[in-house]
Amino acid sequence: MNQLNATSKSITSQTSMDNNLHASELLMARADEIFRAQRQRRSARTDRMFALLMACQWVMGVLAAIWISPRTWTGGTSEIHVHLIAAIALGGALSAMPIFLALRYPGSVLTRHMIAVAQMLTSALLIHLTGGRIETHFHVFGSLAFLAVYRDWRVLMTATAVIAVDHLIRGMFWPESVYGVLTATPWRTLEHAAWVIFEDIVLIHSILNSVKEMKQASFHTAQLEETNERIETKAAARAKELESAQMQLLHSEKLAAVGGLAAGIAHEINTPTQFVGDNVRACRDMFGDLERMIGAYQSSLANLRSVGTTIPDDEQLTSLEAEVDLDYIFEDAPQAFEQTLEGVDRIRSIVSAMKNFSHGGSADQKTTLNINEAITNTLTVARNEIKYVADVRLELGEIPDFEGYLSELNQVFLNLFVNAAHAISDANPERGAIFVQTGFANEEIEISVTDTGCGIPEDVQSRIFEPFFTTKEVGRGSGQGLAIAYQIVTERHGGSITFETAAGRGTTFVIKLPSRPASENVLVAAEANSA
Amino acid sequence: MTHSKRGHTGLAVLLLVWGIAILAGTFYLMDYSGTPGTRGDAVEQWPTETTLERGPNEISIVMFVHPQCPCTHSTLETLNRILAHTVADDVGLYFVFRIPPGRNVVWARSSLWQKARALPNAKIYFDMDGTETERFGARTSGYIVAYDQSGHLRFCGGITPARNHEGSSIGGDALAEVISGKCHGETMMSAVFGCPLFGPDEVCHESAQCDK
Repeated sequence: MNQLNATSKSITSQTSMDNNLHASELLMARADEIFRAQRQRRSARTDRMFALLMACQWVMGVLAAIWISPRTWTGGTSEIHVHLIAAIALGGALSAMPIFLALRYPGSVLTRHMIAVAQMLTSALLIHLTGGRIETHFHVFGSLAFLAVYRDWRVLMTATAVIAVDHLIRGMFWPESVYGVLTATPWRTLEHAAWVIFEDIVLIHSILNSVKEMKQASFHTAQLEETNERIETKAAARAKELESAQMQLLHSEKLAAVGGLAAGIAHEINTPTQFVGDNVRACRDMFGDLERMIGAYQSSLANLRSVGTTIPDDEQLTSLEAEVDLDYIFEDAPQAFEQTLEGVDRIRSIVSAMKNFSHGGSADQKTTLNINEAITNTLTVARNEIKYVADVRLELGEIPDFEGYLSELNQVFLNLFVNAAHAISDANPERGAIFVQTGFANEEIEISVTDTGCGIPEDVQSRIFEPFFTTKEVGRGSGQGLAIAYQIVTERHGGSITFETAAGRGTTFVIKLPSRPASENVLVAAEANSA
Repeated sequence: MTHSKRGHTGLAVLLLVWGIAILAGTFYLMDYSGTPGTRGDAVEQWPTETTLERGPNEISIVMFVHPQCPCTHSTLETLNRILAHTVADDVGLYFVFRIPPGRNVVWARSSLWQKARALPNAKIYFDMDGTETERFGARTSGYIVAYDQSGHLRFCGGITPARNHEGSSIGGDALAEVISGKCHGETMMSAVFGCPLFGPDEVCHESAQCDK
């Protein structure tokens, strides 16, 4: 048994660890999900920001071209300047693609990298149009800072690669376009690239920190969600328990009211039953006297007839005697009296059982009771539910008196008997059997109730003690019976209730009640815990 | 082919077309910026018949300007920078604003004119019939000729590295050398970037050495 307990504890501990691991994995997965969703939203938002920025850049570029070089001149004639055409067409083309992607595929990886490419090409175009003015190079740095809003260092890498390649190629073939000089050494490109990389380092460091904070925030959000969910689950469980307690209270109150009514009715029935019984008994005795008297008369009449004495109205007497069938009356009437008295006794015992069942002590105070008597009384009360479907076999052992709540235990037994009867009626078209056994061992009173019913399906076995759980049709079961029984046995009396079942063969419920008072048990348990 | 695959292919084609268009536009722009205007042939000795009043014993710098040419702004800026950074004792600065037929002086008083007259000791001439412009062989706005103290041509050409591009260039460096008196060898020349000073229907004056 100890080994079994140790194994059980080990399994429980392992299960607990597995559950914790699973919960932790779920939490991490949820945190990751929140982080990804947040980053996706941020990327989509930044895409839209860039769409607006690029549209503004394009408009500003066109306006600048109109302002600075609207027309080019050849002598006295003029035409639209190539720079204005470039600002409209090339600038428009540069802006159109990222704007399209930002609106069509917001938040996608391709969109942000294409925006980075287009933004850097816009910088390159600006640098070129301003003749490599060093001030225009600040557009590159500003764009990198804007691109950092994505919080994706890869976007900066793309932008850096584009601007580096642009500077390298133009530095080699058109240095005046990027540096404003006719000749430029590769070191010039390296110098520009170094400044960009310097900004990249600062921005990437900032991005990584920001991403770390976002992940932490996502984790905290996931934790908060989990806590909320746990609280809600707990609150729902508490609400269910409260509802269960309310139902139980209502049930108890109803039972108490019915019990009180039954006790009153029992008292009312008991009194007439008493005098009916007494009178029947008196009638039986008087009938015996009458029978003796009539026997004496018949004997005297027979003597007189035998000596030839004329008896007045003898013929009428003989005829009447034949008519009333005195022999039958003398033979049948005593049986009728006995049966009537037996019926009265049965009424008395049923009424007594009902009184005992319904007035089984105070609900708040324990009383000394005999479990066997409680079972017998409850069986009497439940007889009507059982008698048509099953035979009851009792094997009541020698058990000590018990300190407990009688009415509650009666309720437990009644629930088990009624359930057993229902299980049998569900399973057998013919009569089944309910076997009730009591005994005492290891300081425990053990009560077992076995039926030959349908058994409990495996998939519902773990739920039968849950409040409001029932497999019975509506109106036949409330789902409260076993839940109440479990609560009464375990919480009110410190005992245990278990079951063994086999599909199609029946179920055995076993109740074990500690023979010492429940309060003492609680004390013993507390000492064991402190040890 | 699924709808998604078709979408991806379409997007890839779109990106390719976009990239090609951007590249083509960029190359066209580069080509435009890097294509110089006609330089013309400058006269080797300061022309005596010119109306430009040259001071004695000075280094004379003459710049020819189309009054509305946007590219010439960068030439003026560059010239301003060269003059500011070059130590010179006696430099005469002349701007010849060539006014095309049908235009007047009011039209020529543009932002370029304002910028030119803001330079110290600048003398501005409006060349109504293009005589002076043709005399010095100028064909493109931004064209500069520099003569030394003896009136001998030392430099002719532009001083920007490309069209509308400020910054250092061969022409700019050469002009700086002339101004600082370091140049005593052959006449230096460079490409000039700017608007043509004459329209296609205008005929060069016979006295000028037009480069057609």
